[in-house]
Amino acid sequence: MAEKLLTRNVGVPGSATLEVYEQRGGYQALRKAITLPPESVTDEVKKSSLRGRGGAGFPTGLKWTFMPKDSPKPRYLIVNADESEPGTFKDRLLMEEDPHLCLEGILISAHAIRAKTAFVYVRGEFVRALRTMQMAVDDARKKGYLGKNILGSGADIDVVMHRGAGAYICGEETALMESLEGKRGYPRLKPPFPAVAGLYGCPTTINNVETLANVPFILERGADWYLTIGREKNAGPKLYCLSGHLKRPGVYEAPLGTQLMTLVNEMGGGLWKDGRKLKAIVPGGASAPVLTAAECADVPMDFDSLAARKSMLGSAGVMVMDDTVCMVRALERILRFFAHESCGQCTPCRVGVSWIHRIVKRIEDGGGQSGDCETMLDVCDNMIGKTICVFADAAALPAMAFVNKFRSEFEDHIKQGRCTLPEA
Amino acid sequence: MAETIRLTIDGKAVEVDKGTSVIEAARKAGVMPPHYCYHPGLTVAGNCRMCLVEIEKMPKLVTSCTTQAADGMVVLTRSDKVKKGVAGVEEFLLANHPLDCPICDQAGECRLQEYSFKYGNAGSRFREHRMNFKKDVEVGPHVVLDSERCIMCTRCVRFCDEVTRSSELGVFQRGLHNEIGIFPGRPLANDYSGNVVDICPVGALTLKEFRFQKRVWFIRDVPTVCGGCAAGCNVNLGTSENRIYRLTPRENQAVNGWWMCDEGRLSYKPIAESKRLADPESKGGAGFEPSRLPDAAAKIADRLKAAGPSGAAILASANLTVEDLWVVKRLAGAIGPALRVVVPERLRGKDDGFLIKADRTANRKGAALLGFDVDAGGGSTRALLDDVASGRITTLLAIAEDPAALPGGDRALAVLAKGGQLLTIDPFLTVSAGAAAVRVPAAAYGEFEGTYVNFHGRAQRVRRAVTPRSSALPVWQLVALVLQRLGATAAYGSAPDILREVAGAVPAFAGVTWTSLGAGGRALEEPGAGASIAPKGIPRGAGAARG
Repeated sequence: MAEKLLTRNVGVPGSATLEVYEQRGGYQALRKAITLPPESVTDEVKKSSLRGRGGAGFPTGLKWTFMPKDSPKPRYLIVNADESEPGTFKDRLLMEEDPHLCLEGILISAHAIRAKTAFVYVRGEFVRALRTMQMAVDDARKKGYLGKNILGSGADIDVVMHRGAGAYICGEETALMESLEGKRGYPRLKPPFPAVAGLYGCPTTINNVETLANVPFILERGADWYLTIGREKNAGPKLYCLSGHLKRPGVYEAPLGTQLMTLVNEMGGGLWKDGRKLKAIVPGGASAPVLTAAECADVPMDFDSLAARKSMLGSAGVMVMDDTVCMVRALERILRFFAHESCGQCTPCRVGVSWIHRIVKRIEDGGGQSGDCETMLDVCDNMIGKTICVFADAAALPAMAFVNKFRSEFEDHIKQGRCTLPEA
Repeated sequence: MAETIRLTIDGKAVEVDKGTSVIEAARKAGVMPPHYCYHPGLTVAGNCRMCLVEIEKMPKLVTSCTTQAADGMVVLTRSDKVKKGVAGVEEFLLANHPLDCPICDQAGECRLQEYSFKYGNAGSRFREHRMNFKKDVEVGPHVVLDSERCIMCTRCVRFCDEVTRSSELGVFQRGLHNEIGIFPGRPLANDYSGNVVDICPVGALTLKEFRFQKRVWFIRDVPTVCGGCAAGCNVNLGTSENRIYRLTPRENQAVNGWWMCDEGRLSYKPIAESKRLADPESKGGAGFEPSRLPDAAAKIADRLKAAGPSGAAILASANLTVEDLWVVKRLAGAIGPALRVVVPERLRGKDDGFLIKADRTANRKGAALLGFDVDAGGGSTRALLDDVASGRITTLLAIAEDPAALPGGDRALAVLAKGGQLLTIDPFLTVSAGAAAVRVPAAAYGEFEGTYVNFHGRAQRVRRAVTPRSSALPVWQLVALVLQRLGATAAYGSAPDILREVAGAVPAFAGVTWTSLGAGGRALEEPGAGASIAPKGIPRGAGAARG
């Protein structure tokens, strides 16, 4: 078992307080980093090959270097804490259990990109996370960890907590910026990218909570040490959110590249009821294409390995389904979410997502007609890659995987007009 | 000087300035992709996804409106991949559309219909229930919304945000439930609201005054100029069966861009609704008696001559064309050089910094260029009417101008009724026409052709779209008859004939011919540095007051 980093304070009494965090060695990385020139902080993170934990896995240090060197405008760091991907609950744990770790990461990263203000956009439903984080911000300010002249270094960084109003799309980085500006949460056209014209038209970097929580460790112990965790190009610890038909669902920390079945069997305790067989696993949140039980045998849980299997690590929301799960019903539930959450700005997503949902709903309700699967797959094809943001892809790709990999189940549903699985 | 880049679109080489979008480059190459949300006068939204094109070395299809053209780019607008993508978008847009074309006013000029025919699939695979929305919602005094037909292109929202800067419209709800709407108590009541109907590519927004009046395929559009104010917005007069059904703006980047105001848009209605004079009449012992036109013209000539240059005067409207005014000028000269001719002001409201001018006459600048007293400040009209009231002027010819509606006009009219002579040439039965000794019906706007010069000196063609039902004739033709009675030769066959004479005599019009004015007109003088040309919208800060 590797050393716990991201979750080392989880479960420790008073882990959310500044005292406990300091006792356990907190804010040492900030003390070190705040005196370093921003470029060396960025270089260290770049060297560590840290990749974004929000879902896309983009190299974090590289992203930071996209910030223009000589813009006269203010620069912003946005922390994406709008964790809404179904099956994902890791940022919430970090914010609720170890807010100061998040905050330390935020402050070091803001220093690296020379941002004087960091906005934390917290999912509206995460009331407790917002309160804990706000408390952490207030306490840290009193102790001089944030605000003016941090720890006497001369650096000024403020952190502003912002509560979202409950829309999945506001986790999309440009929709988040619109929402933060007080507008309708519609994704923006790109280019321009946030580093050039982000929040209020100013250079902006936007990172996920978990990504930033990695930063203090990189600064404290060095990139070389960090690179020893995980696999090549997929370094570092990762929080996996295990849910579904497991004995012990929950958030688990393990290095990137840990075998999927190791997570399921050793951490999750295996399938929840004896006699049940594994049917499928969604490895990275609802928008990650599903893997059949056979495909799960050898899956290192990292960005590149999952991409090679035409799925994605995404937010590492591992949803395990046993053999009682009706795949039509499972897809209907997933698509109901996406149809409800499409912002409706552009045509293929607005119409397409609810169209494929309604087809699956009809099949599930016994009204399936021959040709429905073909229509659905073609509608998905008409959505993918034709929209402003990747929401349509996030709905269409898993839908296609469900239909393609469990086609006979869908066809049986259509032919019989009902579910053919035995009642669980 | 902008940098020029070269690209290839569907095999055609095209050169554009750097910064041009692919869709505009494609327009230049003659292969404009289909589009709903893109409008050159509004910011790019990129939301309809209809203008998808394939660009070499790019893995995905891209929207041509959001992509900048680059040097050496190879663009395909009709590859198989594009065809499938575009047909897919069209299918999405039609999935929830009510397909109520038989009762939809947009039918015949609907982008959904056009693109469905050109780029769509023959059938729909959509087997689900269609979305239902509110229909027949009055969002403002002139605009009616049918959300079921809406495709959420947000052109109307952007128009109100960016051009009128009044932001009455917004998008409400989310996803498939998205709907255009207004905020409680804030109707779409800006001065330019009708434009959202024009730019709505489907039948979601219709004009209250036009809906259910006429199928558009019966409408014949005559390109002309609005006569509502000095701006001279380029418009199309939509007519059918000798009736005007609507005015819509016609693009002219030197004048009005793509837009026009609601007042101008509805200016055809008073013409159709006002009482017209059917035939020339003169006052006899028992009231008005019909008169043959030559006789009426002769009476006007005789009475002007009898009063002489010191006892007669002319009030001519600044809504008369350059051609009309030229013949009026000749008439004045035939009576005597001292004859007073005044072209009164018609000020109403304020310039809004965009299209609406305080001066609600169409051709004051033209009258000024012809050397008329255009009554700056309103003093000349007042002085003239006072002279009528005091009996110094005994005979007044009012051409398309109602003295009763001018300050001091009441007293003047009362005096004329007792012992003087009021002669009127007017399209309408005005108050003054009721008190006239001789009255002759003239052609109204839409019934004559000629030239207007707008506020910053652009000469533009006004064209005839309908023929008057009565015996009304254009003013120049009527005045020419009066002139002939006075022994002058005035053998004009048409307005362009007169324009030729004006071009030869008035330096400002040198070289101007009817054909050289073309569809967009011609600047008679270099616009001054301060003259606004095709403003982008109501200036920031001057927008409609928020309630």
